[in-house]
Amino acid sequence: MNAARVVTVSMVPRTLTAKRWLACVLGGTALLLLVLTLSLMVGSTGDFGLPAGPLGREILQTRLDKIILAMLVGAALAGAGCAYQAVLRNDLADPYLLGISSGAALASYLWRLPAVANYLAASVPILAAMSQQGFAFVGAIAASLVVLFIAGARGRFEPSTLILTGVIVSTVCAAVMMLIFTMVKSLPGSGYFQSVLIGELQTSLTTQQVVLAAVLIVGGLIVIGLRLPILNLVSLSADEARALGVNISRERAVTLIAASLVTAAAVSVSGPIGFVGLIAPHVARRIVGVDLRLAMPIASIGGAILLVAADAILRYLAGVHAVNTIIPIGVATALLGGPFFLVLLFQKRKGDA
Amino acid sequence: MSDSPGELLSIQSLRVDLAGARILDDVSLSIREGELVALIGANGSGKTTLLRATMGLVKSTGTIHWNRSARVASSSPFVGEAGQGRERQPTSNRTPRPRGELLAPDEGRPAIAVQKLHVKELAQIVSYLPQNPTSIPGQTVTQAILLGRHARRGMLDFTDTAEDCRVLGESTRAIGVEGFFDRTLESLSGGQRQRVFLARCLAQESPTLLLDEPATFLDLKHQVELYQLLRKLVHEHGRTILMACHDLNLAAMHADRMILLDGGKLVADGTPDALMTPETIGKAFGVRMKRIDVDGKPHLIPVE
Repeated sequence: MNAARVVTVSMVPRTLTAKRWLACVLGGTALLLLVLTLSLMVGSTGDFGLPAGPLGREILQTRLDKIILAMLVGAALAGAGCAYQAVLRNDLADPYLLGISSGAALASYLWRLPAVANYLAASVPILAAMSQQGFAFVGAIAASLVVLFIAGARGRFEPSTLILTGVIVSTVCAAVMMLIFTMVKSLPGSGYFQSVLIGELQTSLTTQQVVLAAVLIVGGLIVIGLRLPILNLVSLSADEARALGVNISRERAVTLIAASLVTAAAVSVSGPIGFVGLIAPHVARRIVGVDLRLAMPIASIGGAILLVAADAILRYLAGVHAVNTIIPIGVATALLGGPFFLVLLFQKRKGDA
Repeated sequence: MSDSPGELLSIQSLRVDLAGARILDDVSLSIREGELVALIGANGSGKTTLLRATMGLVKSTGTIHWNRSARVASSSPFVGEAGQGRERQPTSNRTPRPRGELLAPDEGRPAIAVQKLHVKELAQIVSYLPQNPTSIPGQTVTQAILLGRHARRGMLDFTDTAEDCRVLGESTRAIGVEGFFDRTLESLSGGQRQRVFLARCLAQESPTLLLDEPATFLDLKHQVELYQLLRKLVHEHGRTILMACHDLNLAAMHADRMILLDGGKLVADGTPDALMTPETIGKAFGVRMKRIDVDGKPHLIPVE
C-alpha cells in the first residue's frame, strides 16, 4: 500500500541568500579559530597548554608562524582544488594530482640552486630578480599546460586520463628533483629536499617571503571567489554555459591562471602538499551542497582547518616519543588523502555501473 | 533584413560546414512572436546544427538576426504579476551593456546579428536547451533553475535576491515542479528533470525558447504532457518556441507551424495541415506514408 507513504514536500525553496551565506562562512571561521587556539597550545615536547617561562613568548611565536602558514597553504590548496574541479568538470582534480604542485615545486627548487641563481644573476637579471614565487608560478603554468595539452588532445578531458597525466607529470618532476639532488651536493638548508618532494611547511622563511605568498594567495582566492556564480555554470557543457550567458573560454582561462597562481604561491612556501584540494572541497560539498558560491569559501576554511589540525597532531606525535622528529605534513595529508581518493574512485565506479 | 513587427528571429541563406561536410545549405526562415514552431527532419538532416548556429555556437555564413527589443509578451502572467509599473527595458541598468564597439553599427535597430550580441544579452532574449542537458551531481532543483538567472544578474550580484526567488516561484509554477525545490536532480524521473531544465530556461525571462528534442527519453504520457506544457508556455506565458522534434504526429498536433529539413536544406515550411502530406514527409524520411486525419489533425503512419 502506497497510501501511507509520507511525501515530504518543501514549499519554500532553499536559495542562497546573503544571510545564509554569511552565517555559514562565519560559522566556519569560528570553527577555524577554535582549532587554531587548540593548536597553539600543543607543544612539540608533548605538553599541552600555553608555554610559560622566559622562552614562552618565543615558543608561542614559533607555533603561531607555522599555524599562519598552515592556514594560508590549506586555504590556497582547497580553493584552487575547487576551481580546478569546476573548470575541468572533474571532481577528482587536485593541484597535486594534476601535477601542478610538482611543476611549481620543481621550478622553485631550481631557483634555490646556487648555480642557477648565479647564472641567472649574471645573464638574465630580470629573471633573477623574480622571486621564488615567480619561478613557482612559471612551473605551475608550464605543468598545467603540459597536462591539459596531453589529456585534452582528443578535444575533451576524459576524467581519469587527466588525473593519470597529472600523476605522471608529478612523478617525472619528482624524479628530476631527485636527479639534481644526487648530482648537486651544495644544497641550501637541511631537510629542505624532503620538503620539496612531499611537502612540509617551511620554517626558515623570511617575513618577506611569507607576506608575498600571502598576498598572492589572498589575491588569487578573491579573483576565484568573485567568479563563483560563473564557475557554477562552467561545470555545465560549453553550449549550455554559453546559452546561459557565460563566455566560457575566457572564464576557464582566467580561473585556471588564478588557481595556478594560488597553487604556486602555496607550493613556494610549503612544497607540494597533496590531497588537501581533494578532501576539503568534497567535505564542504557534503556539508553545504554543491553551489560553489558557498562550497568554495567553506572548502577554503576547511583546508585551513585540515592543515592546522594536521600540523598540531604531528607536533604532538613528535613530542610523545612516538617519533623523534617532526613528520612532514605532506606525509600526513597523503596518508589521509590516498585512501580518500580511492574511496571516491570506488563510489564513482559504482555510480557509473 | 526587414524589421517586420513581431519577427523575433530572421535567418537568411545560412550555410554551415563542419569538417568539410556541408551540414546546412542555404537555409532561410523567420520566427514570429507567439508561435510554436516544430523543426522536423530525419537524423542528420541538420536540426541540431540549425539550433546551435542560431545561438552562435557554430561557425556559419549568411545572416542570423535576433530582435533585441523583444520582451516576454505582456499577456504573460510573468509580466502581469510583478512587471506592472516596473519598466522592463531591453537593457535595464542592472545588466551590463554589450561592448560599445561591437554595438555601434546596429545601435538603434532592433535586429542584430547573433555574432554581434554580447553573450549575456543573447541569453536575455533566447534560452537554449540542448538534447542532453548536464545535471551536476548533488545539485538541487532550486540551484539548477537559478542558474538561468545568471543572464539577469549584475557583476556584483553574488547571492540570490528576492527577484530571483520570485522568478523561481513563477517558473516552477508554470512548469509544475513546485514542491521539488530541495530534491536533487538525480532523484527525479526523466520527465521531471526535463521540466526542471525547462524551468531553468523560463528563469532567463527570455521571450524565445530553442529546444532540441525535449521529448527524447520520455514515455508517451510524458511526451504528451510536455507538448501540452509547451503550448501553455506559448499561449499563456507569452513565449515563442522553436523546437526540434522526432515525433511528427505529436508535433503536428501541437505546433502552429512546421519546418522540414532534408539533407541540410529547408524543403518545406508551413502549417501542419499543408506540410503533413505523405509525399513531402515520405520523401524526406525515405518511408512510404499514409495520412489519417483524427479530430481535424493530420497523422502520418508508415506503411509497407
